[in-house]
Amino acid sequence: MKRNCPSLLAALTVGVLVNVLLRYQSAYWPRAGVATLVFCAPLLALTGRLFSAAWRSGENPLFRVLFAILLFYTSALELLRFWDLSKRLYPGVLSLTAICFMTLLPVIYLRRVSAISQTAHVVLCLLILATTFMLLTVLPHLRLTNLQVKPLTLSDFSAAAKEQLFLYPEYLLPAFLPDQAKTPRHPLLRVAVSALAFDVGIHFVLELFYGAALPLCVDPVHAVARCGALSIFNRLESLQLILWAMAITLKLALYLYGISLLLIPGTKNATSVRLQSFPLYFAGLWLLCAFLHKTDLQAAMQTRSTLTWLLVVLVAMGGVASWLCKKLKRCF
Amino acid sequence: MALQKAKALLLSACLLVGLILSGCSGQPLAQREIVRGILFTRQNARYSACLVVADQGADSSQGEQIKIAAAQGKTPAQALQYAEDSLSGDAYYGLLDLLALPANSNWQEACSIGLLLYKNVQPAPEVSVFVLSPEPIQSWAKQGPTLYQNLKSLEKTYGIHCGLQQLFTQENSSAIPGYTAESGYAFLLLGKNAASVRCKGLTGAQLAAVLCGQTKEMYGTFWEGQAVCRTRAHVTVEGNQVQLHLRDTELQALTDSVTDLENMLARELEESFAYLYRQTKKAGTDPFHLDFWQACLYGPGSVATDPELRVIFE
Repeated sequence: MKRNCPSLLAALTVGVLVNVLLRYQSAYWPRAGVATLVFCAPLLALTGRLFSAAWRSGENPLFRVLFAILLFYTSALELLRFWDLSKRLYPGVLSLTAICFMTLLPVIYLRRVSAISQTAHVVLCLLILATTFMLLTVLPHLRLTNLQVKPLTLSDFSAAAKEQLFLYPEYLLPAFLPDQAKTPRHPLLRVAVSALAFDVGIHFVLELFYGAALPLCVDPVHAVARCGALSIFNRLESLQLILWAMAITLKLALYLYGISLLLIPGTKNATSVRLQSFPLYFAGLWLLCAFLHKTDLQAAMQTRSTLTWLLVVLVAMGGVASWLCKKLKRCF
Repeated sequence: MALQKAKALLLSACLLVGLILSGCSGQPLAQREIVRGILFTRQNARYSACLVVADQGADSSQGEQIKIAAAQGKTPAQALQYAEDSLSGDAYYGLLDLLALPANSNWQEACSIGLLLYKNVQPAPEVSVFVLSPEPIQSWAKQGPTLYQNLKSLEKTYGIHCGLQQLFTQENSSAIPGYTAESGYAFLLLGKNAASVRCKGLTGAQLAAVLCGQTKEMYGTFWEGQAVCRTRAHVTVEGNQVQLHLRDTELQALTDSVTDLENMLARELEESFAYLYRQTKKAGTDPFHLDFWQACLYGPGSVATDPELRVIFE
């Protein structure tokens, strides 16, 4: 029997894991990250849960439009981040249009939820395999003595907490996704814990590799991967990039599905995106990327996270107001 | 259903073509100058950069042939840029495997050249780093290829490797192997606010390299050249004692007057360690990670006090 809407947990997980791999610079010391993870993961999950409750209680067209704009803007930032990465690694090879073409074309294939779900499972497995392979091959370059032993300060913990509380739309999307089959208990907590644990684990590997230089290195994961078997020609660097492109495509497909649920009336339980939406989506995203291509991406990402938190606050206020109205109506 | 399958196949094919074509705008590698090594020297406050480039026009049956492009400049960046400009094609640094710093480089200079390469050349962080010997270079065209090949052979013979990222793994010090015209290699301990310490020989340079974790092999003469040693070494730290474990040790006397080789080697290594430790303490650095092991054993903040080397033959 074919399920109406398969679980999108794998897609949400891929969406948050890929942020770790494409990070411009490492953000915190892993020891601080381990300490803050204990608080930040439940906080992110709780935020997502509260957002869902508030959304269901006080959903209105304004919030839908705002969230759709946020998803569209995030999609553009994801594309620009990948383009920025490819510019640093292969200067002059890939244009913005080529990146858009490479990552957006497969989104058509991923217009059905079932395709997103199946592909997400495959990409998640590939990501885990590629990361394990990378770790095995760089193992000889990791030195225990590179771990820093100086005592951590409050600013180290606050830097780690700030980074871990970076709010991605993946934590908010389940609020309006159709009911999914076989969803495990506490899905958001699982996503948050796996994302932050993966982030801390990668930071730990990076510290073993870079030592005191950890906060300074640009594209640290890619640079570490180049020292192992993931490098050019005789190695597998291109496969690594293709894998990252697949993960971004998946992320974009998930966002597009979210946008279509938010903006197109009567698609509350839809399991696919209409083909008619694609030309507008492609053209709009390409134009937005072209418009934003000179933006400071790190600052834009930070602003995006702040805007996401603001949206959460706004929806929470709407939810509380709606709940109060209902209560008052019952009273009178 | 069949139509959907056809659509899926078409889209997959488009994706594949897209992925393949997305890298086609780059220049073919055969038309680019593949840089294998970058060597820097400093003479009379001017820097000289030498690019060791794979000669793609040479006969491939005789192994990899190399050619040289060199230029001078006021700064390492300028010298590197001029050397790059003197190439007939675009430089390609994807296969770079060696970097040599000027002789007598200090910590600031080594780090600034390392950062310059990270910024302009983007090498793999594990590219091998050496410091050149103080003998002046007369001609890059004549000496460059030999120097590159000698450094590669040195790395292979002695199993010594200092990656570019290792220049930055400690906040205030770096340890880099150095080229020497004699056998073996020298070893430089660079401190942020201190004079560099250059040591040589089996019990100096090679001991320091083992303590810094840059090699596990020791091979050379000791006791003023009267005996030779080949061994595999690793280090453990227990309290105040730095234990040097020597495995599969082969000792051979080169003169009849030498007896009890193990004892002599151990004494020389211990004296050398005491000297190296004094120098690093004076410089306020910890290239041998002794503070790390102390912190692991006794908690953060504990510092090693006058550690001693103990040689253990296994």
